[in-house]
Amino acid sequence: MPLLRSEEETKVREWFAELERPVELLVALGPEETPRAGSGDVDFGAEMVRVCEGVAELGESVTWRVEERPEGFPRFPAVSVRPEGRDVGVRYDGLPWGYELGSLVGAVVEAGRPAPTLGPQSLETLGTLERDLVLDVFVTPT
Amino acid sequence: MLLAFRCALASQRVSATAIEANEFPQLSQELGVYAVPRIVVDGEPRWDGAVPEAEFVRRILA
Repeated sequence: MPLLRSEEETKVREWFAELERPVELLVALGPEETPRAGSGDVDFGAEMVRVCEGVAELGESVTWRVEERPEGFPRFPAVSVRPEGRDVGVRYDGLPWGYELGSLVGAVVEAGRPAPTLGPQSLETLGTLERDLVLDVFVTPT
Repeated sequence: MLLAFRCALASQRVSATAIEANEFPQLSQELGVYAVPRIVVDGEPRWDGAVPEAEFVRRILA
């Protein structure tokens, strides 16, 4: 089954063609938590590989690779979105299925831009940070 | 979700992770995830739902 509908794929290809720097998807595989009932016999790791491979196929500047149990990944499967291969703290834990595939695509588009896309006031406020800040955003595919 | 990613890309001090709640039920239960998006800052649940950029940045630093 294709990841995206034809018109969506065309749009994503256009966005990825405009990336100004390469973006790597590091797929992290390892022991998985048993998900809630209803997930059936889904091989989440294999599906994560399929999703990231499919996303990377949509742009020449997007690459992907797999690591088993890489350091710094508390949950599997996961994907780290890395501008120019650098870990900048952008990660997706679990499968970016359905609606959430847009979050992964959006992360790639944002990572492919050399300058931040937040407004000046937000950048100024974040610039005052004197400690590390860890954001976790819980999402679902629907 | 994208707003959190954009914050991480804008600041070396910030990291942002999307967590698929259904795939990690134990963690979701521990953090009382009943609605999404649920925003957790430094391990502490803060709020549910989308907010504009300025408000998002204000809240994560509050």
